[in-house]
Amino acid sequence: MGKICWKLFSSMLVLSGLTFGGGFVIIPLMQRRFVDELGWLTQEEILDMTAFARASPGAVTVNVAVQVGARMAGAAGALCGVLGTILPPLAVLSVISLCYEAFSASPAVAALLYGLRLAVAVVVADAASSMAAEVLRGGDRLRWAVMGAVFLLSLTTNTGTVWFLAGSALLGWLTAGREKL
Amino acid sequence: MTALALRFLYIGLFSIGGGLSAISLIQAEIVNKLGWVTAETLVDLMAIAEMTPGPIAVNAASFVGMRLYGLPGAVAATCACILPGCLISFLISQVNDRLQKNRRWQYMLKVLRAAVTGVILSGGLTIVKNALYSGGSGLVLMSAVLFCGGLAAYRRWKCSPMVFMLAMGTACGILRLALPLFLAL
Repeated sequence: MGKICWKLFSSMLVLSGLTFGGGFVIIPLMQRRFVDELGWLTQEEILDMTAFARASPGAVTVNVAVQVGARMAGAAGALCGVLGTILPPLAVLSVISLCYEAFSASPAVAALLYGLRLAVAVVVADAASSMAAEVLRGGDRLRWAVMGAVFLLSLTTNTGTVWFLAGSALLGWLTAGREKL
Repeated sequence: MTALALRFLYIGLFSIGGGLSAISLIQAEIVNKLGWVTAETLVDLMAIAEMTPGPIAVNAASFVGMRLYGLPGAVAATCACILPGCLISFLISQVNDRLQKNRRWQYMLKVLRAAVTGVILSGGLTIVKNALYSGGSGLVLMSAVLFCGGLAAYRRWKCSPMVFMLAMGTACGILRLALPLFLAL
């Protein structure tokens, strides 16, 4: 249990420390780490947790971390997951609020950020494409349509994604009887 | 400081739909109503939040808390900000565990997973685009080559994503720093 808590904390510490801008970027990274590498969760579970996290107020990442932690090690796990997630931004922002000018002007910082962005983009592209392949393999046309529509809508409009997810949930709820499960 | 924590508890409870809704709440509450930070600082904060790790809401709470009350303020504001979301998403996942046998709920989740994958795809595309353009317009080609090379290497070796990101990030960063020296030769 202590080992699980430590793994959870250190994983979230690194992943949260490497994702810029927040939001859905970290989900493919968590999928690679917790589903593929550690085998703690299934792909379905991490996607469900993401949907629940989005339906709740606040930051998606933190809300997913609390669910992963609770699933793996109860309250202690939830605490470790959340602490790992918020410590990097808390520490970085606290330091930066003291020396913002020096930070944003440094060429070394800019170069490192450039490299990290590229590296994160590689892992995100790899994981996101394999998640999409999983939906396509399922063979359910309605799910293909939903994925495609939500993808295009969230690329082209500024409407909050929470509305797309709510609409999809409603659609799934209403059509449930007509599909073979 | 209690007022600061309560204010961020409120922001955490009502920021549904992502980081930008948190920013607009902070603008309304912390900037317009209370005047604790100026509108310019908020713009700076958004720029910083783009360059630094972590969710925007957490970044904003840490930054504003630190400005007002130092480290205790940063910790209090951050914890207050994430508390409502943690509790509510935990409760929903508990409800989900009880509905494992409900077929209608299960099919709803299947469709919902497809929708979440759609959002993740569009987020991923934006991340790749931003990464390719983040070195300035002169470097897009080099960035694209590095990105494709990195993707091929990552798929081939299947190493830990965390090790990979640290290694490739540092390597590309050093390359970026050293580039002017190469061009000078």
